[in-house]
Amino acid sequence: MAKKNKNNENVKLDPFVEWAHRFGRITLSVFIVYMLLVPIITCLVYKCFPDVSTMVPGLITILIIMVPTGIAEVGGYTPILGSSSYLTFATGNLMNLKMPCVINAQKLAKVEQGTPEGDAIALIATAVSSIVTIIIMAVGLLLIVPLQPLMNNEYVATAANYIMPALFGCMALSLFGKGSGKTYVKNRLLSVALPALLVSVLTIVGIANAGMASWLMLVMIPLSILCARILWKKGIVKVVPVEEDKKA
Amino acid sequence: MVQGSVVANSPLLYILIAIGLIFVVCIAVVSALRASKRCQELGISKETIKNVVKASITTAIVPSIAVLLGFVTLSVSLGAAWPWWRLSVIGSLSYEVMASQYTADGMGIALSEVLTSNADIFGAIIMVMTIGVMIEPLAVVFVARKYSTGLMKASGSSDWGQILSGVFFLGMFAVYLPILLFTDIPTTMTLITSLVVTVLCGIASKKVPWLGNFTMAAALIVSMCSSVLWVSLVS
Repeated sequence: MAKKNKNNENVKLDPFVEWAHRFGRITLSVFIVYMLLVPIITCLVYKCFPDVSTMVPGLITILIIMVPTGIAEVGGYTPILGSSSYLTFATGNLMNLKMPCVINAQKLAKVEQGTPEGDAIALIATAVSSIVTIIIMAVGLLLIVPLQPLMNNEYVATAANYIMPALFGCMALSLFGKGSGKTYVKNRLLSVALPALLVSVLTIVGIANAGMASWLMLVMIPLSILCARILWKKGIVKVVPVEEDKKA
Repeated sequence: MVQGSVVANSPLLYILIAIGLIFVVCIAVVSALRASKRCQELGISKETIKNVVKASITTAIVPSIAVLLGFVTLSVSLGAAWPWWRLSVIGSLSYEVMASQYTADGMGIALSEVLTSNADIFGAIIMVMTIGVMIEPLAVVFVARKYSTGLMKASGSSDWGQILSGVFFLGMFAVYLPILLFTDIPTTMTLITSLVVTVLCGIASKKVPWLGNFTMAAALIVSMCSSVLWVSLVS
């Protein structure tokens, strides 16, 4: 698994990262099987196993939506989540919960994404936030009757609809700053200037909306990579030591 | 004929779900303990780890309450057990509502009639929702290791690797931020409120360091509450 870097040195994967991926793959595989077993056992016991033909129309509709969404989310978020991807994708609520927790935790711990430190912190944040959600949902289940009037309250419903802008407002600051590493990517925001401009135009003319975000990511992330590559080749986007940049 | 509500509220379904949730909690606990041990080995202080845990708890509470809202909504049409399972793990608020709706539509039935119809319909809905959501975890099992460790190695070994590994994060913002900024005024104002509260908490945390752990939770609560004001002002 060792790979050679530009200085011809072997780059070995951190033992924790190795463990986290192995543990994640095994546990997620078991979880996927169990997740399938829940409806199968229930339907078999209650003799309500559905006719496959009745499921086809709904399944096709969902797969048409989920396949590109899945490609975009796995392709776009796995590099940020690292080895916590397994637990994140098992516990869901990716953009509205796990991702903000991970980004916030990495910022607090002053660690970089894509490093063993960043990976370990992301796993702690994912694990803790997953447990919190499970506890809150369990409390919600127990208190579903008394909670119903509160949850059906007009103001609570309105506030809940605005969770995404609230989350992105908090996370937007992480776009700026140089991180905590010895080097940082200078002019990195230029890599996404064109994709951001395109999405802005599409949103203003009423074509793009929050429901299309995953589809847009399918196009915009490859475009961002292409822009970054061109700007890097031209020397506009470059890796700079933090100290050197301060002196400059 | 067994009614959908009988299966939807069956003790068996609750037991199966509880076992699944206990399994996930065990995975989370083992992962957190192991990750925390590794953090200390890598020189991250216990204090920092404690702060990360505290911040993750407080950050997760507000979005979890929003998820709870979806649970209450879905439980009306699918009973309490299935939405409890799906929103505690695997699903997301938007997917669950959409998937259950499309499956019911595909079967030519209103979602509100699922519990009073034949249990086969409830069975079909839970099967379709399960199969439909499997693409992402399956893809993660097969590609996540090579994909993320490949990028991690590239990031540590070349300039382009370091640039590339950051582009995914920026690309996510390049899609979401313009959408949230230009969709409508309440959305824009909620985002700006959240940003302002984050900046203010950041300034305040220089004098009151513990505040830093609660910045995100505070920004979420204030900005989500402010959305009620922005909506009422616009309408």
